[in-house]
Amino acid sequence: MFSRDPKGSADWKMRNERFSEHELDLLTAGVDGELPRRDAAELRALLKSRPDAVSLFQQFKSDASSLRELPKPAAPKGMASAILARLPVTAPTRPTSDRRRVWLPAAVAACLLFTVCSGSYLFFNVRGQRAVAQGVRDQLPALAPNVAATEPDQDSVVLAKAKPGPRVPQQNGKPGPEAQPLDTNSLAQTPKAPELAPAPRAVPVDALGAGILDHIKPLISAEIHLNAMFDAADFGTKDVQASLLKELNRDPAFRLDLFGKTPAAGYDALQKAAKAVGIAVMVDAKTQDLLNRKVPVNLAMYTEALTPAEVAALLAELAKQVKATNPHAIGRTHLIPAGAVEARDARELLGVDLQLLKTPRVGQANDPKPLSADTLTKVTGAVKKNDKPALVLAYLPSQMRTPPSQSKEIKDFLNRKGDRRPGTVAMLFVVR
Amino acid sequence: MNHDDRRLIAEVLAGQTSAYAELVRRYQGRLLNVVFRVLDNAEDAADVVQDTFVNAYQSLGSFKGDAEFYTWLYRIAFNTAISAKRKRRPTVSLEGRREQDVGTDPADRGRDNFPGANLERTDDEKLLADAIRKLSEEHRAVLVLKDLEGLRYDEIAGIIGVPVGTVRSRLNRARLELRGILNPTASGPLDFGSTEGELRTVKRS
Repeated sequence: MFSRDPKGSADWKMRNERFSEHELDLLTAGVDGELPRRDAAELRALLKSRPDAVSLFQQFKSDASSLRELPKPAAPKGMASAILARLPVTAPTRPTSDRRRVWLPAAVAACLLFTVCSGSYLFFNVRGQRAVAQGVRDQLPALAPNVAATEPDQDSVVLAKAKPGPRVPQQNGKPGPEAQPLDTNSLAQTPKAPELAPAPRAVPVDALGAGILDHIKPLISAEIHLNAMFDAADFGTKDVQASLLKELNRDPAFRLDLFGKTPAAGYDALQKAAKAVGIAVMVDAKTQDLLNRKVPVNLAMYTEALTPAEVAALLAELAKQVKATNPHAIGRTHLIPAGAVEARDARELLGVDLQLLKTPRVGQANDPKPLSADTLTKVTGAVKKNDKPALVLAYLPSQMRTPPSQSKEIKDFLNRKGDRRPGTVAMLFVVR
Repeated sequence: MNHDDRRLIAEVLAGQTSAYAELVRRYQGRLLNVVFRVLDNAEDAADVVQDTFVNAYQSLGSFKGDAEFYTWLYRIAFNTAISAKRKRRPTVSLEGRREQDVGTDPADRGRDNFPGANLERTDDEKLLADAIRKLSEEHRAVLVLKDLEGLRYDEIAGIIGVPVGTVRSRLNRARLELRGILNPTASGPLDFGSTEGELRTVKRS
């Protein structure tokens, strides 16, 4: 720690050649009274065999004694005052960060343990007490059916036992004890508790266990409807068919997202399934061009000609197609009731407001509207042929879509679909 | 740790500055003695002692109490002394100094005015005090802490920050060096002379 004085170091190095380092250690430790017990014998042997070691040992002791007797300087007057004057105003404090670091996890664990234990205790204690009380209540009528009736009957039983009275005919036909008039005064003055089936013992209310949950009002429940998710391969199962019908009857329009390995494979399966159930699939020319060029693009198929049962049938057929052709064509599906987003999507896709969110009324199609002869012919023809048109479009961002007014297929579809029939659901299938 | 020290420290941490005054009064003399013997400069020693107590006050919250309070004070004092010596080094002028004056420390201007200065009354004491001053600093430190303060090896090791074995070997060397200073006429291997009254023998020589 301090710089070495080379002159002094050289001095002792030249002069201590008589003793090894270990022997000097022994002598020094002996002088200072810090000789380990195991080395005491060694020191004694050294002192016995080496007169110069004895001499050095005595010399060291003498020097140490002389040093201890040197006068000690007294602190200058005013030093304490000067020190106190320099002390900072704020008192020193123990650093809390380390202690907090040590104790915080333990404290948190203890709090958690206490919470869990007390919660469990309260839960089971309250439930246990209620169960006991309920059990007593359940057993009460069985033990004393008469007692369970009105109070005058209980009293009359007690009085009948306590006093001789008029005999009541017994069941076996033998006469009972003689009947005597009831002493109504004593009855009023000294009401007695029934001897049979005593009332349930009152459960003592303690601070921890009883009654603390009684004042809590029932929670307000809210029903949240989560979007249905299915595997495409399961569409054919009874359970999924039932779920589909239940869901599809809930709202007037839906979007069904079909997630597959590639949109093209998914669309292929959907198109085959649609044709299999008699749906006339119309494909926009530009979309068809993209498909021909195998451009990976999401596709949307819109139809409003199907009832929920027909949609379920279409999806069952889709499951068949998926299983038969490509199990990875469509995997997970999400059925989402149409909202404002879907209504906007459909409007932007087809260029007209399809009124997705409105349920078609019965007789809507027969409203007296002036129809052109062409439209009337097409609608009539479609109804006669039980036409179920569906239109396939590329499901691109709105900036990249073909303007609906420029698509002949869209116009044809709109003319062909006519008004939405009652009982149908509008479906926007999106193959992703 | 000393019970009184523990109580006083607790009171200081509770905000009672008067308790620290008691600690200062209790240990300022011992601390000054050690620092003065080690630094060999009265004025610097007083400054170091003051700084030591101020630093100790500021760090008192971190004192764990697993060692004696004065041991902890000594350690702070040694660190403070090292800092003081380092600050003092650049002020040394290397020009126009005689050979015996060349060194890293300035002249001891405060010695004569210091209350503890020239306190050795007998020749033996003066001789011994001079011998201590002539020891190398590392030897002087361990010798003062051991023989003047009576600290244990492990306490000294904790104060100066070296292993116990190093303390022991430094003590060996310090004592041999002290012997050599007190008996400069000895030639060759140490002439230990008689086993009694060695200081008187040395003084006569």
